[in-house]
Amino acid sequence: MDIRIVLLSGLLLPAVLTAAESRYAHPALNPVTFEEPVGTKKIELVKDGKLNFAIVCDLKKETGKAAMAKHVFRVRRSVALAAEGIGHAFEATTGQKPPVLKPDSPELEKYPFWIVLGDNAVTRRNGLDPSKLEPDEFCVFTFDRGIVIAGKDGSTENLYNALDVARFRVNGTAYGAFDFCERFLGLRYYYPKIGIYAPKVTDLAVDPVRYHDKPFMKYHYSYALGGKKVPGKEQLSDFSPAWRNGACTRYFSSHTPEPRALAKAYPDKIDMLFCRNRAGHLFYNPKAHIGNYFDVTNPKFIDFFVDELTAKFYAGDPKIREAWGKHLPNSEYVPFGQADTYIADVLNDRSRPYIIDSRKNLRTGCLSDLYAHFVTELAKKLKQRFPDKKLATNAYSSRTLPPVRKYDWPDNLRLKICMGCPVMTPSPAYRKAWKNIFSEWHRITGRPVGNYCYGVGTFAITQAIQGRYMGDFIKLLGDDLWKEYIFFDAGHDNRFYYSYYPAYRAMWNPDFDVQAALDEHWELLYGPDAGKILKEFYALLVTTWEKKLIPQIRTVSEDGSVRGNVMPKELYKAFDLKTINRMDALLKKAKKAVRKGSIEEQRLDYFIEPWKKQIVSARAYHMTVTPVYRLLRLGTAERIEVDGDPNDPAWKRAESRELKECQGEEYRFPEKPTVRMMWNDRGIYVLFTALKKPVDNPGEVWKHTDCWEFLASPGLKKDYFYHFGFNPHGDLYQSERDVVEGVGGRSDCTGLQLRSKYDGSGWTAEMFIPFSGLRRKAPGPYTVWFGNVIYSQRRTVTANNMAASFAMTMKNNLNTDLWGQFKFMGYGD
Amino acid sequence: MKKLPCVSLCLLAAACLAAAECRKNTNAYVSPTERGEPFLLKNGLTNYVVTWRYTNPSPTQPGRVLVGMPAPVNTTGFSRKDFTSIVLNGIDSRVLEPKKFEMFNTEETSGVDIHYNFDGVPMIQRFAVSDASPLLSMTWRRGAGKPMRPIESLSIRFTVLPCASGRARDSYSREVVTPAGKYLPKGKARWRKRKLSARDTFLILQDAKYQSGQQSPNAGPVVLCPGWKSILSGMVMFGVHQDLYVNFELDPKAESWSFGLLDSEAKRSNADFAAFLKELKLVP
Repeated sequence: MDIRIVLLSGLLLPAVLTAAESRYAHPALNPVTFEEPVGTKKIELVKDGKLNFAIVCDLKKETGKAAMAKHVFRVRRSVALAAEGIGHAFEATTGQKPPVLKPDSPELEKYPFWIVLGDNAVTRRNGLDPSKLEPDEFCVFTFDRGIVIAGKDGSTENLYNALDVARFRVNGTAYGAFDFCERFLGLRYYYPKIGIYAPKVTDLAVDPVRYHDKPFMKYHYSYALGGKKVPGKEQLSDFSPAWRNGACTRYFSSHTPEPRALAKAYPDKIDMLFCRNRAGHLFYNPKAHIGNYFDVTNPKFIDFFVDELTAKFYAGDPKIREAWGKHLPNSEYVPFGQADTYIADVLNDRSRPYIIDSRKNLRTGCLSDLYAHFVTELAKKLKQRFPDKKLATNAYSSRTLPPVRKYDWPDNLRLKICMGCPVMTPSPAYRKAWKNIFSEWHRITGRPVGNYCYGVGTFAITQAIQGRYMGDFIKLLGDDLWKEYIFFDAGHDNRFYYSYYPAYRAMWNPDFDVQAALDEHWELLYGPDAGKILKEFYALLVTTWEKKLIPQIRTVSEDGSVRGNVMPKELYKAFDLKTINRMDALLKKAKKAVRKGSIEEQRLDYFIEPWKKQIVSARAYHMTVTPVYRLLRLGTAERIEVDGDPNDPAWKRAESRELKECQGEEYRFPEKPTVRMMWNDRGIYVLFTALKKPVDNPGEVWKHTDCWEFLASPGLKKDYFYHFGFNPHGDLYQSERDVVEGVGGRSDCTGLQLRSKYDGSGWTAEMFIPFSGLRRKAPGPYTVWFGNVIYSQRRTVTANNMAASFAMTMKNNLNTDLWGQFKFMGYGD
Repeated sequence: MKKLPCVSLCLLAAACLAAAECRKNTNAYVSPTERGEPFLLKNGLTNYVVTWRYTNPSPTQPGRVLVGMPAPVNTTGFSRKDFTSIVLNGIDSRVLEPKKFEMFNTEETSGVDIHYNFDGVPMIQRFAVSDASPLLSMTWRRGAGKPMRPIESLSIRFTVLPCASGRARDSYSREVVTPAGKYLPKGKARWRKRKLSARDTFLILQDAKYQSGQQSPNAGPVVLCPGWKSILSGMVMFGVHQDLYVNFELDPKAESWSFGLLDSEAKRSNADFAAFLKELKLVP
């Protein structure tokens, strides 16, 4: 070793070591780059159970004027987060908290060793200028008085400005500190509170070491929002550096500008802003985000977007700032994105050249050329007016596939492709389809493209394993992926930390060894006995997925590969009853293997919680029979008045069907959501009742409200379906869609009647759906339609929504495989 | 052939010993995809099991109620899965669920009445056996109450697999013998369609290739006796295919429509079966 130091001392740059050459390389940790350390002194941080060091950092630098205090809030104070992390780690492992001193503190000399954090005089004296590192990069090295952990921090440089969103943060030192705690103290940060593993440490001497690391993806952020619902005591004020979550890029694009805010600011321009379909329907919905669609066929919209909306925004016009809504342009990027409205029909004289016949029926490609034309023109216009800004936009929904025609792609256009589903990465068919699409986008635009990929959150099984494939997914996209941006739209649920943890690590470094990390962790969190059982449980999930489900996917079209939807039919063919029973048995066995009242038991209970539902649902699926609702035929003299009152005598004859928990769980809704249906030659009558005052949110059918949905697909082919949804206020959503391709959109069922009434004791609604409004003849007696009726409590946008349904949905209302049958009975039945 | 008088005597004795009876069969078949409602109709001469099979609705198909005959012979004869149904005013009885089953056991006959509603037209299907005959009678008749609409069209179908089933595809040689003649398949054609008339008072449905006999794995032929009084026309479809179909257009103005069916577990060649029928005086 000494000889090597002598040899290396003559070199200007430290030599890179292989991982095998450093005792601090660990297969379960991030594969950092080790270099030849300087010096030979061991740094004895803990000796005989006592701390032997102080933390040295300049916290003032992060809060002073230089740091632009206004923009450097908690999650951007990288050095403070690092100091907190180091302090917590030593307290958790030794029971003692190290003091935090300034670099010029006279107290320093009292301590044999220092852990020096971030950019300060001591760090610089030891040869590191953190400002020269790449964003989020950090360096850890020993010197004669201790260890320096310093990275590129936005908080100590004049980096942030008022237009930067919170997730934009450059926190190299914080990432370095958590890496140090993992690597040298043995901590593991799987999830907040009880999800942190901290071993007992009585002696810690660090051999000379030097390494650095940086994220593979600049945007390595996700929905990881902390541990609010996790049991136990909060230990860290921000968990994101422990997860390696952050974003050191300003690139961002979403559904921007916000259509309703824009329409409010420009009421006289609504007709120009929003598009119409051939039937003349204007895609402007003042009541909800969904239902709006900017007129990308109109060159005037481009002029408006640049000359009015963007120009006045940068000029500081507060009215225009409001018109943008939630997501604003920033100092580098101007974002554009449509609302989440699916339409396929925007044919007019302007769009005609860009509507490609071969793409007309592709859900994910029918508008690709129209958009390629639009965004290239928009980017060109933006470049003329704002040469220092780039257009941030997405290939999403009906324009995800690359366009067919050639376009001149300007260099100020940055695109992300909204497709891919990491849990499907083991499938050769999916891999091929994704690779083709990304390569083609790369080729035609002349630059790599960003990615927004999707999780499958409808099943515990997929939630539990999807994150492990993130590294492979990123590696698959390879050079076609723009290393600036990837987003994993999989929500975040700490109960599935063993999926999210590897996903976040893979965004930091796709070579992160998921298997080693998980293999190590079972025993750390749950003890040797239960850990072994849970390891077997997890292996069963992975092998069943890879050996039984993935082989079912023989082919997938590029169009069909976008989301990688997992249907219960395929899932439960792989996870058959035998497998489900085995999973259940293993969890029960693990429960017996932990000591009562221990932290291991607490962690195990938290782990098991979502599996209870999954196992009940899976068993219910395996035993379910497609339900049938028999719609009695109204007698020739019978009448139903659609007034929201269930008092028509005819309803007494109708079968009263109480809806059940949508995943087959045993939970009974106290409000007893019940549906009744009847029919005659004119149409279908539906009566909805729930014995509880509903949550109403006028104007919103899908958010923060209770709602009813009625879905029906005439005949047996399930080729298309009608979808009606309404809230207690009576706001109605209606659409008609192709089941397979999803093509379609909002419809207008002429003659539909809906009356909704509620008071303190309950909610009743009556709906009449005329066959003529569906453009269909009346069905013959005893014919069958597929469909479903769903009662939802949509209290939040994403999670914890409760739903009861006529046929199980498994949390996917468009899960037509599980839909029940509506049988049209005859006279006299 | 010499044994036939003996057989006849034995049958007569058996008939005297055991009166006709109808009861629920204890072996109600239940599976994840269907449940059965089986009835046993027996006398001293024979045992018939007629089953209403409720197939579960699936993600692609509606549920149906099929009438099968798993006994006296399970895999051959009148189909154990779905041997008969009617279509009334365009409504197939298989899409209906019976409203009720009523068993009856009188001195002369025993059987079961199954009540249906065809979009306001009540109908009853009756299966019955009498004390002294091996025939199973099946009658459709109008149900009680005034129908909400007239019967405008009515047809019935039978599916039969005489003698053998499950053999090589299109290896059969189905035949139909009636008082009007013997109808043979047309060479290798899968189907031959032959119109039936009132002269075809009974139809022996058999197979020339897969004949039965004492040591044979095959079963004997079956007989279908149409009640021509209320039948407008008939057609039999047969050939080298496994299934043999007999269809009748029924007179919608009639009050009832009757058929006799004969199936047996006894192993008889086609010739022995013809002789057996003569002996029983079931045929002239």
